[in-house]
Amino acid sequence: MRLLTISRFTHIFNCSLARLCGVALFLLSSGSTAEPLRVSVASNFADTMRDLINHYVAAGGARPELVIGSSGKLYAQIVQGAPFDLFFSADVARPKALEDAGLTVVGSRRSYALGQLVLWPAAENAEPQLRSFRYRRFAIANPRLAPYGRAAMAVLEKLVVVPAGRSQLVFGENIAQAYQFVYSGNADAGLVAQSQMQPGDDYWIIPSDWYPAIEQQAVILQNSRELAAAKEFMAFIDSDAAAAVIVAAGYRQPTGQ
Amino acid sequence: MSTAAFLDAADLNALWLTIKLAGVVVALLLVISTPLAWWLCRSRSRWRRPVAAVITLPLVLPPTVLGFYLLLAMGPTGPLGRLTTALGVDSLAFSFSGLVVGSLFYSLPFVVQPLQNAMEAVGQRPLEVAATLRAGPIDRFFTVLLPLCRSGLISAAVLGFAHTLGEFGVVLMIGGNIPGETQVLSVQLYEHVEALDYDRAHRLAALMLLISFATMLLLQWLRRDGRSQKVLGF
Repeated sequence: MRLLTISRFTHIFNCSLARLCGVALFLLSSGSTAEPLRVSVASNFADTMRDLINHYVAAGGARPELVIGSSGKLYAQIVQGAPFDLFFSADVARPKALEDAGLTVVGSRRSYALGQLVLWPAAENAEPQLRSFRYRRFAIANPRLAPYGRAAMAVLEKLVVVPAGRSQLVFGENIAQAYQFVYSGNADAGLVAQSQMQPGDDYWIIPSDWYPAIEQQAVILQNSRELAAAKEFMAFIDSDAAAAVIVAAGYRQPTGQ
Repeated sequence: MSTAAFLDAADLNALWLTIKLAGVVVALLLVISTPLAWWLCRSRSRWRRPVAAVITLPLVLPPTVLGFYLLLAMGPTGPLGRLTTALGVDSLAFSFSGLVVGSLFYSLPFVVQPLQNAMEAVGQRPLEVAATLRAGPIDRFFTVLLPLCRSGLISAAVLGFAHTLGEFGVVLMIGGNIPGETQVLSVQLYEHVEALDYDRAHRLAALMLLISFATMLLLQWLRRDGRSQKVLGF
């Protein structure tokens, strides 16, 4: 009798435990299907990515979540297992490094935009202005950290402004800070990204053959839990509709991938 | 591994610059903060509380906020920028003097508060006694109050120095990362991390940890000495 009650009790307990586990599993699985796609994006492209996402959602896609940071920081986080599905870098080196480490979906690496460097502010005769380099302070992004900085340095070296004008240079940690130095008036001018320019800004687009291409690449990450959705979003990025948004934001289309 | 190889020229340069910045800032802050702490301690003015709040603000304010406002203030249309133009001196942004100005704000509470606490602990009594012995106000301040505040002065100097060593957000905003001028240790370390040069980053990080620990250890020792002296003094 006593034994019976115990076994009955354990039976009831087991049943309810099984049911509880079932509920928990259901909650977990429904949680993971409801989880949005996580898109990590280099800060210079964040605004454009917001635009792109709005178009994607308008076309019926589920709204992905944005994680914004510098390419270097995002790269370090991904190596440490950050739960991102896609990575839009500001350069080629980091996606390539992730691919070499086997952290990306094979064949997913592609260029999605080419950054354009502009002189800002610029008057009518921008080119001689830049060549004569009569600036007290001239802002560029740090060439060691930012592809835009490397490109800017290449331009200044090509025009033989550097090393003579090196003491006039101030370095933003990234292209956003280079912009901020000029915006606040602390630097007279700088080489910044066309995508940062607002309507009414006077800028001059640097000829693209003056600097190595600022190629921005994206990858789908190996540990993505939403592979199908990630591929779908990447297909949208490759579409003509997305290309139009990217070009309107001040980038060029990568050619001959 | 020799020290020459442990840090390269650029990192050594940053180390020297950082120590120079912290030294200059602490010297200036001790001069500014001593009368300020005294005033906060003794004043009955209705401005006392607002001033105290402003001084402690950098404790809770993100340094980037301070740095952002300083950057705007140092621009040609900002108040500091107009002042430097009117005086005919170079703009403060992207310069060592600019970092000194920024750090004065940033480290102010770390120097004022230990001083104020020490002065409050001393209280009125020793000064009143000195006054009855016909010591003038200036005499009382330098020969009675300051010696009694010795441990507070030491705490203020050490904390102000250590806090300026680790300054990052303000420098990042107004510095422009210029070697020998504004490229201090913390910014250099950040650059190494961003550039994925973790080896050099590790060395700088370990060095800063070591310096900070040594500074705090020194503070503990000095404080102990200070306390025993104070006990003997009474």
